[in-house]
Amino acid sequence: MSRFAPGDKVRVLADFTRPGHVRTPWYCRDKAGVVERVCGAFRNPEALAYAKDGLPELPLYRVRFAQRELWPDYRGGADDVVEIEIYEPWLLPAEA
Amino acid sequence: MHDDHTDGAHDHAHDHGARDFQPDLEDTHPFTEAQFLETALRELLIEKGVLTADELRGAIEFMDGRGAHLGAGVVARAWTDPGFKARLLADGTEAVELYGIPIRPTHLVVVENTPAVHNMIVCTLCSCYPRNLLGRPPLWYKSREYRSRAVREPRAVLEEFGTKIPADVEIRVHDSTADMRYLVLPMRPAGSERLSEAELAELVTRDAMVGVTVPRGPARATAE
Amino acid sequence: MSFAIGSLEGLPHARSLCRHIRLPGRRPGGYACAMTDKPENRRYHDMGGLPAGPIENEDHEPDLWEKRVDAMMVCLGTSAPDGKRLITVDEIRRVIEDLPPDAYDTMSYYERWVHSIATILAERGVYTPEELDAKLAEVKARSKQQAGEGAAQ
Repeated sequence: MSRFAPGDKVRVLADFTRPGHVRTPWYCRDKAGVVERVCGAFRNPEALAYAKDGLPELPLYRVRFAQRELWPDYRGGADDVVEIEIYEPWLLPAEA
Repeated sequence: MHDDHTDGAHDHAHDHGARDFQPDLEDTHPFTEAQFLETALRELLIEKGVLTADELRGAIEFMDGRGAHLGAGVVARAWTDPGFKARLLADGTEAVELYGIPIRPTHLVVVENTPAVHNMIVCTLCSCYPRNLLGRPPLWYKSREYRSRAVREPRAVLEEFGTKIPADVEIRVHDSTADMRYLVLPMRPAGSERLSEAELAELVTRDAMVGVTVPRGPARATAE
Repeated sequence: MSFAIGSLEGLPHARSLCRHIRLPGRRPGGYACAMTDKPENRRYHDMGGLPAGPIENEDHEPDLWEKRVDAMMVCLGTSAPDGKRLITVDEIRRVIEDLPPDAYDTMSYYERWVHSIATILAERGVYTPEELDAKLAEVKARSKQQAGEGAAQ
């Protein structure tokens, strides 16, 4: 069962100190966005990277971030966004 | 074996077969360490029964057969068949499989350009790309410059590709960080109403399906 | 969140395999690779948002050896009928991400891949580094011999 649904406001974890293989990119750390869709559940790449089976599968989301939120000096369109696939353990509910 | 690629790439996939382990004489530069390593690795794996030369040859031929022409056919179908387009946007993999291109286990997400939204695809962490449909990604897609800047300044990147998107159009950059792979469904160019599906497909380039360009319109009719 | 990562002690020979790949004297990608305000925890491959130079709009067909590396990855990573794969793309990525920054920058895309595949298979015990070394020596000797024969013609 996935914790988040499309439309939910979420925030990426701030703590990126874990070792190993991570698929959440640095530039969205501690940033708030909105769940655009639930992609399904997939094996955990952080474990697959070390020849583990990656189970249980983790829910994967596409999260939409406003460029203005990601880059303080963003000079493109006001509505420009980036959408990033992020695994559930990297997301917390965001305050409204 | 000659494959058609709408971006004009010419390939010549041939393998010298199981009996001939020599580095390929068509490789044009003097052999680098990495080339020696590839040869040694391949021979060792074949000797140990982990792989066969046939399997490798088959995989090369499979990837050589993938290319922009496949994606272009899907786009042209979506432009002419609203039901197909709806299925494509709802479930890209399922729609493309039904269209007749086996791409599983790829999870394909198709994102649509509209007058309000322009989509662009990148993989900042490595080079994830819808290979089973479009083939191997271009060099620039894998470059530091593209991977770094596409999420940060997409409009400047688009301008480097000669693409100007109006400021009031939303640019949506998709960072292919996990299990999804992306295809941009460009807008059908104006003036293309009378073209056949095959002619429409010729307007669709790989770069348009990655989202760094838009398809050109049809050539102007000589008699207007 | 907790997750299990494999022991990193059994990660042998990444450096010994790395020595097989002579880093070519290649111009690193167009701009200064130093990231002066890069926080410590950012991994080197994780480059989204960093400043970079103009994009070289270049593309060319991969060389045959590169296609073979690509094919190796596909074949090794394809699920066997029982669902087991010898390696995963995740492992390949992890090894590439663990490359030192200068290696990451100067090695080409497929150089990184072949290094990574070779490393992982050694980790898995498919062969020993000694076996790979021996095979490499054999391949090089053969190549030298062929070059000599070619020159003699």
